[in-house]
Amino acid sequence: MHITFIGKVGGQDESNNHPGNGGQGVVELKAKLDELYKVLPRDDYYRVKQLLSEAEGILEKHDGVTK
Amino acid sequence: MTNLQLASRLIKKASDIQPCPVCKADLKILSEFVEKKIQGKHQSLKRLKKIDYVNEITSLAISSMSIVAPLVRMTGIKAPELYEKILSDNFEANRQVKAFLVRARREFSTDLIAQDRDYATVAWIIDSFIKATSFKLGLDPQLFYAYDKIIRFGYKTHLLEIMARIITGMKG
Repeated sequence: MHITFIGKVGGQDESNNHPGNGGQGVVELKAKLDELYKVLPRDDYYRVKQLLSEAEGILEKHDGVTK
Repeated sequence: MTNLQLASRLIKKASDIQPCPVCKADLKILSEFVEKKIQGKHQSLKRLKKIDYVNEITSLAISSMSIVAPLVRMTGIKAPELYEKILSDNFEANRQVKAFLVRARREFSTDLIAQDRDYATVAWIIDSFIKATSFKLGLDPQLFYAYDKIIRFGYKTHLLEIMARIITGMKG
C-alpha cells in the first residue's frame, strides 16, 4: 500500500503505471521530509525516514528485476 | 588532485552521510563554495556568511547542556527506546562525518588561511562543525533526549533561526 502511494507521487499520469516513477517519488518524498525536519517531532521524522528507506530498497530491488 | 579539491570532496562526503538535514544543507553549501572558488568562479560571500553561526550555536548548546544535564540526571528522565535507536543509528554516521571533516581541515594550511580570507572562513566553519559533531558524539540517550527537546523548542519558536541571523548579522 505504501509503495502504491509513493508511485503516485512520482507518477506523471493517472494510470500510475510507469516503471521507475516510484523511485523518483521516494526521492521527492525524502526531500520533502527533510524540509519538514524542523517542525516534525524527532521520532515521527525518524519513523517516516525509515519507511522511505525501506521503500527505496524494495523499489531498487524491483528495478533490478524489471531491467 | 590538489589539496583544496580533496578538501571539497571530503566536505561533500561528510554532507552526503550527515544525518541532520540542516547540517547536511550547510555542508553542501560549504563544499560548493570551495569547489567554485577552486574553479575561479566569482561568488558572493553572503552564502558562506549565512552558515557561519555553527560555532556560537554549538557553544550555546554545550553551555546549556552543562546546566541542564545535572537536572536531567537528578529527575531520572528516561529516553524513549526509539531515541536510543536514533542515537545509535546516527552515531556511526556522525563518527564518519567528523573523520571526513578532520581530514578536510588538514588541507587548509596556516599559510593558505593567512593569504586568503575566504579560506580562513571556510576553515573556521569546518572547525565549528567538528566541534558540533564531537558534542553530538558525546551525548548519551538521556542527554540526547533532553537536548532534542530543547532543539525542537528552538525550531518551533524560531528562536534558533533568529539567533543564527543575529550571529551572522553581527559578523557583517
